[in-house]
Amino acid sequence: MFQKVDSALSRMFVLGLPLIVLLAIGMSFVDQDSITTQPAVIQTLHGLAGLLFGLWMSVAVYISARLVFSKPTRNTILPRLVFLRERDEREAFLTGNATKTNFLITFAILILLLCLNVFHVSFYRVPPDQAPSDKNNVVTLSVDFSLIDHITEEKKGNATGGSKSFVNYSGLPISKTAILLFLIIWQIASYNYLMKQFSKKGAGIYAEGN
Amino acid sequence: MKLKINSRLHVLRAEQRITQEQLAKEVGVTRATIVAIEGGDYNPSLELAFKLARFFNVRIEDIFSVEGQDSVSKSR
Repeated sequence: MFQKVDSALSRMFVLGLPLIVLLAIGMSFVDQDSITTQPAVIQTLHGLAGLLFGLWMSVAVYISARLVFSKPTRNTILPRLVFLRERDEREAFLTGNATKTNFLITFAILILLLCLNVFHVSFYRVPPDQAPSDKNNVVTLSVDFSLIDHITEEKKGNATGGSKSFVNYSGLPISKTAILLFLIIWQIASYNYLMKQFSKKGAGIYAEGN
Repeated sequence: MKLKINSRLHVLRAEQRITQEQLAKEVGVTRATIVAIEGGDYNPSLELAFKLARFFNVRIEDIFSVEGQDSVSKSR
């Protein structure tokens, strides 16, 4: 039952994407502030576009969540997206090797990005009268390790434009550092957990390993 | 030490006049896998080796052999 719903919704998501792009382009020519003064046809189209976009957004959120939590949905949709082929044991073997290399490279990139995101370096020159010694070139090294996004509060204020909002969602309130750290920890934990699971099932059965 | 496996698959296939595509279909793999086995680029699983042996009605050792097997035996 879920499989059929997922299949239909994923098709709707993919096929709806060009339509959403076209609607976005079309609506960019319409002045959003004066929509109530526009002809009835434009107003109806605007309403319809909003409804379609809302529906598509809901489908996108649902599909994204299903991809995370449902193994059959993930294994049906994502391999097509990344052109992953496992038609026989040789391709499964090659996929394993490619995945291992990809996993390690991604892991290295995540560590690099975390370092670049966390470390702060600044070089500056202080006036001679304010310098603590005869040297007035200063280097400051610091580590910024905040897990919560500081600009979320600003975003909230800007999004509503002063009007009273009941619900306002403008992205996850976590920092880039938190996301990178989560992905690093997730990669290690997920790999080790899956290795244990697959070891129990039997490593020789390649078809079961995905 | 990694063992080099030699394959006589192309010989058996030629003897029975079977194409790579036909053999691949019979044992349930892609033609690329048969090409890779014949070229020595891929060592098949035990399961696939048995399937190939059964298809040609021979023993696995009649299809695959280890290069320098004597030296390995002596070292044991």
